[in-house]
Amino acid sequence: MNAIDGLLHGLQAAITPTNLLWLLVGCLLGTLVGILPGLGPPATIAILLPLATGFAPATGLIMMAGIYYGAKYGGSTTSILLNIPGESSSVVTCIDGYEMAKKGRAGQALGIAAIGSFVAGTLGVIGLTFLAPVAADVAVNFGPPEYSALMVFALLLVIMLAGDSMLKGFIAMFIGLFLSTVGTDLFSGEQRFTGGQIELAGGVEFIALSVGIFAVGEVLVNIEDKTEHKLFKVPSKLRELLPSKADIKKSTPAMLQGGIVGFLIGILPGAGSTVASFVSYIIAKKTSKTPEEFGHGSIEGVAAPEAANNSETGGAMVPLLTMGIPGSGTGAVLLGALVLYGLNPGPLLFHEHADVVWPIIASMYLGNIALLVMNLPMVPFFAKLLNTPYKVLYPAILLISVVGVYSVNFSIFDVGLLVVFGLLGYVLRKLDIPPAPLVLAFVLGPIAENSIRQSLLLSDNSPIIYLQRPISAALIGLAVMLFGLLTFGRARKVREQVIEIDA
Amino acid sequence: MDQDIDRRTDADVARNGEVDHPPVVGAAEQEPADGDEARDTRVTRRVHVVLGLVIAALGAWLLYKSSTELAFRGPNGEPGPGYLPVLLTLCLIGLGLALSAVWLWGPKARSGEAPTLSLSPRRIGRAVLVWLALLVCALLIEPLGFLLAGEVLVLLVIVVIERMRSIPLIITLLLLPPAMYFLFDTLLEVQLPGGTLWY
Repeated sequence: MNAIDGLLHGLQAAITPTNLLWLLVGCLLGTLVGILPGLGPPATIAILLPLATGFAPATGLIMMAGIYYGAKYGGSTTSILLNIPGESSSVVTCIDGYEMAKKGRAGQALGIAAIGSFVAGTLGVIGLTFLAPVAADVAVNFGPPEYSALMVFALLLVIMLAGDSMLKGFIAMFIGLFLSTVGTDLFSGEQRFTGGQIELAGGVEFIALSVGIFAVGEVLVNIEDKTEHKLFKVPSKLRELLPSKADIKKSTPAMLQGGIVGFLIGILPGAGSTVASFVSYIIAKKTSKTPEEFGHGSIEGVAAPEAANNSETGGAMVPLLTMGIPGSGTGAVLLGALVLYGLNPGPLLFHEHADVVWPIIASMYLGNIALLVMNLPMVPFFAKLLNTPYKVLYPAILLISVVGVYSVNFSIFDVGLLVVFGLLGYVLRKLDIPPAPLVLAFVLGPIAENSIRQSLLLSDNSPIIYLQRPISAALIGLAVMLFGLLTFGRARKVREQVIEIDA
Repeated sequence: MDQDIDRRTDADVARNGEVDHPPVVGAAEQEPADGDEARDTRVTRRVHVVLGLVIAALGAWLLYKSSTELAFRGPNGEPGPGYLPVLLTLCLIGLGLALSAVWLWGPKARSGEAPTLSLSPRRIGRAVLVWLALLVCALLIEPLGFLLAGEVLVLLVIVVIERMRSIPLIITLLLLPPAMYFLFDTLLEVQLPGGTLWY
């Protein structure tokens, strides 16, 4: 099935009343939870994931796509109105978005964020439509050595954005990898670190881990500060939210540039939307006719990072769907969702489950449209929701987290894990240890372990196999180079710049 | 990545210090005095040194468990169930020790240039209270069921943590668990625990 046929088939499957309804519900829920201060897309998706798992795979994943887009859009709302980025990629939006809000142009900032997200999100999905089948055809030749080399490379890329300290990034990664070994060893059938608990035989429940670390951990950090945040006034009429023709004309190059840059960066496993929004902002500033406005409420400064942030979604789906490699914490949660549905992301996904993959891609087009049509008129309502005191919101978030985790396996033990991982998420944040590498490593751990052990079985325990096969040798070489650059070279300076923005 | 570090807030940093408005975070995060800064730097350094040692000790304990309870090699010399855990724990020990060493003797840590952690006991205490409320709720779910355990969580928030006086807010919070029960258990048919004491 070629890309066009696949997409048409996907659209046909996606446009059913049931799927459309759940897509809209996903967009709305994603936005509603995503705008809660401090809750970024990974936490939003992790909290809402159990709701989507009750459906057939195509419907559930279409809803997830809606939640993903909604959560991303929700993040921009808090960035502009409260100067609180839902996740690191929204930090760049804060710079000019919040300045615009201070000048009474919050409506236009939210409007251009929605339009930019729509334009670039669509560009990203077009890129995904045509590139994913090609990438899957290449990846179909990957064997265990190539996969293990790819995992090492991806994990190193993730460390690139590990925060202030690479050491701490590595520590988080190794803790995640270790947690992924808990449970029954698939090769020997032995129990590892289960402590005799039957509930751990299948491993640590991913939803408990991700909701605990992302959602409960964030709530605990946010609750430390009793101060309520000041909210800017948002126009109540749709007309006042729409940017003027001059605004749109001025922002169009930034949106298009952001769309392309975001997609290309999104393809790199581990690079993520933070780098995409940062690079796109820099390019927009360099190419703008009015660079002096950047940092003081430039509409291009909102359009470019928001465009890149959304287009990165399409790019990140390429390694996720074709090789099973998530590029970020959000990607890790999405990968967990695919596995929950019994789908194994990888090169064969497009051949074996075309009936599920293409409707998901098609639903991303529809999700973009749904967000624009539905969310823009609802901005005043979302702003009202943001006025809800946090002391009312956080018990609700905690209770939803409990319900969400319990409903996956109907297990009280998982609720206990949620509490434990919630504390771990808080401690990690307090000690400035980035949680994303831990969650990513937890997801990638079993794939990495299986492929390493299979490779060594194939080669009679000789690690030389990694250097004998060209793709794995190239990937190992790249990983070594990246490690060297991260530690000593220019990439370290780039990383530090990104981290400075991230701070 | 809302890292809780005493750095300039959010977008202000990205604008290279062009701060022309008060930070949105509350008064609790105002510029600390020089003495406080020195104390924070000292505490941060100590915490990191101890953290590194704790990670190394934990890694050593897990290495002991991995090497004594799990086979490193299979019957034919292939990697066994303990292969990866042993390698990972060795790395954790090395990283933990490296973290301690960097914060003991590293140039940034010694000169006080490294970012400091915000470890105010009052703020941590508040977060720990909320976590304890969640723990109590989780422990009560099995015997009491979601509805009552949820009410206990909400009551702890109202009475102990927030000490609320606003009647509308209190009513809203008290209605949360039944509203969620109705939404999930009744409407979405996600069966929530009813409580072993009642069944």
